[in-house]
Amino acid sequence: MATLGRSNIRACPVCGKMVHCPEERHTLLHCRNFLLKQLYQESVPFRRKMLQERVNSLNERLSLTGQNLLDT
Amino acid sequence: MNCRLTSAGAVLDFIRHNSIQTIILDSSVSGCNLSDLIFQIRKYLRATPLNMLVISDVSAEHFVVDVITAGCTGFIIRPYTLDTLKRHMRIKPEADAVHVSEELLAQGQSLLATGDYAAAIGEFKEIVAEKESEGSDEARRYFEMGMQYLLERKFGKAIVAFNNALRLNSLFIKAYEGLAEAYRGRGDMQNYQEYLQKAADEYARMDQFAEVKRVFAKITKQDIHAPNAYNTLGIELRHKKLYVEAVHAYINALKLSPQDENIYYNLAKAQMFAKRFDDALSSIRKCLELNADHSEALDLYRLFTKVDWNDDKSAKVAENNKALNQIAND
Repeated sequence: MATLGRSNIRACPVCGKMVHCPEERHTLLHCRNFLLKQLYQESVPFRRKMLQERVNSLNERLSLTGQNLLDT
Repeated sequence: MNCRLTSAGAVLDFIRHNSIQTIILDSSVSGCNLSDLIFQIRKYLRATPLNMLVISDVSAEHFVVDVITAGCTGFIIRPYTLDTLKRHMRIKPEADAVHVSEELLAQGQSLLATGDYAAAIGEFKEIVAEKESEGSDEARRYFEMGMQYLLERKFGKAIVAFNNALRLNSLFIKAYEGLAEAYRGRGDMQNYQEYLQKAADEYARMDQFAEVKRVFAKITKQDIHAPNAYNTLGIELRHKKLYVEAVHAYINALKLSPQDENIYYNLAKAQMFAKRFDDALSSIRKCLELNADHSEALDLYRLFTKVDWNDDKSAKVAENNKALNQIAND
């Protein structure tokens, strides 16, 4: 059984998604989609605000606007 | 013949061996989830006109959305009156355009049975004439209306709209099958093949509508704060390789958010996979007009035209574009 230390699955430092490193493509656009999907489902106002801030920051980095998902 | 069954398996078994006009389902059917059972019945009977009522003591929104999108034709909440049940039991609705065509279909089928092929062809062609001449897509119009009502949580209206879409789908399937049979009766095998293919296309479209409904139901239930559910639907459908349906979803998405560059980009991608390259390029252009820094759109523009957006904003799709063809074929 593989130990956690040897695993190829890593948490993305930007969005926290567990990514299977060699096989799964994961860019900032994927991070944006991941955070947006969380935002769509989050009903707690405080958490929504936090997610919103992270999405806004990613939008700024990616020169994007809006809260609609992008087909990656 | 009336029959009372208690399990999902027995219902599915019964419909395989009997002609059904009306099914009344209780919300607590045993054997499987109610929406799955409705979906299976619809899938099996496909183009057969069918009245399928759900009598339920559950009125939770998620449950209602599931049974509506699975294909029920009426939803009654307990306790109910006999009048309510009678109103929902009406198989033939008031005379409307679809009803008139359904009468034409019945006439065509009886003419076909008597061997009067020419007259039967006349009746069937009258049904499909409007669809074929104007390219108008009434079934899709009703279907999209149903999705909009679902989004607005107007469940009664959503049921009516989805039912009309289904009735039209069934009508065209039967009319095309009737035409095929009539042409075969006259020995015209070329037209026989052509109309059989059209019937098959309608069957495929009916299945796609059912799939789109299920995906849309899932999105509207889970992503309650999504700014544009049609955009999410478009992405899901594109990933399922339902490109035509994805394009329709994005067009609806743009009605809600006409200034969103991301939706134009998504639309371009769906059009690219549907091999509508000129339309896709036009969508990329709209995306870049809204946001000239959209890196993904800039890459896509380069892929299509082999030039940079800042060098030539009106470039056409490059000829012999192998890279584009390869991606679109993947």
